Amino acid sequence: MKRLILISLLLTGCATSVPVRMSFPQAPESLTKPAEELQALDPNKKKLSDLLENANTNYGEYHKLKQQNDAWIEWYNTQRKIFEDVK
Amino acid sequence: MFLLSFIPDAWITLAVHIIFGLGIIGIIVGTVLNHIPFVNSYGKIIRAVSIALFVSGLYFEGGIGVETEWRAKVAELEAKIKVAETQSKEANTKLHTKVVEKIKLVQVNVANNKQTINTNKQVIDAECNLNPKAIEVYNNAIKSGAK
Repeated sequence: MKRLILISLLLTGCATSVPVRMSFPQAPESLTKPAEELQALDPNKKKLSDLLENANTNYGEYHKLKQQNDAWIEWYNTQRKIFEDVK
Repeated sequence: MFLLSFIPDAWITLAVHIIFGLGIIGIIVGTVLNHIPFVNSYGKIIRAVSIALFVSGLYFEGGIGVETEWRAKVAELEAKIKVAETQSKEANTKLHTKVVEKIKLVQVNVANNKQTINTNKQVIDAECNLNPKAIEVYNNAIKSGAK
């Protein structure tokens, strides 16, 4: 046991301490939500208004995703700038 | 060296100065004692030990400069990282607020369009009925094709 403690203490002499560590930045919660599936049109709904309603819903999903995508680009650029300023 | 990182800078500096100072004092005392009869044999021993202390003290004096410099660099980098982490969190909060607001606007727009469609349903549906083939093509376009 004494030998083990002694060896452990001696080996710490070879250890390199890495005291400086930067944690990976967390992405905002609003960006980590998965994309919704696009809604298919019910074959029984044969009116143009049904199609428009469906297209409206799906376009809305696209616009939400576009906002998320733009935000991801902005997040990456901002975080990269912050990271590079540390050097 | 790893264990040294737990000892405060001031303590290490003080210990090195003491070793170096003892070495110089010991060499002087040893040299003086060398010239005094009866005690000159002690003088040689004191001098030999003091030379060893002086040499190691000198070595550590050099080493401590490098160690202090590294510690200053580490402290500087740690301070920068702390600032960066704060900036990162602030940027995330701003971005989150911005995205949530924009998505709300999108939802409002979708709701307004839905309202318009419902209001004008009769006019819209008056002249057009969808062929089942059109619905099939439309639904195929919705599928991404990727698996």
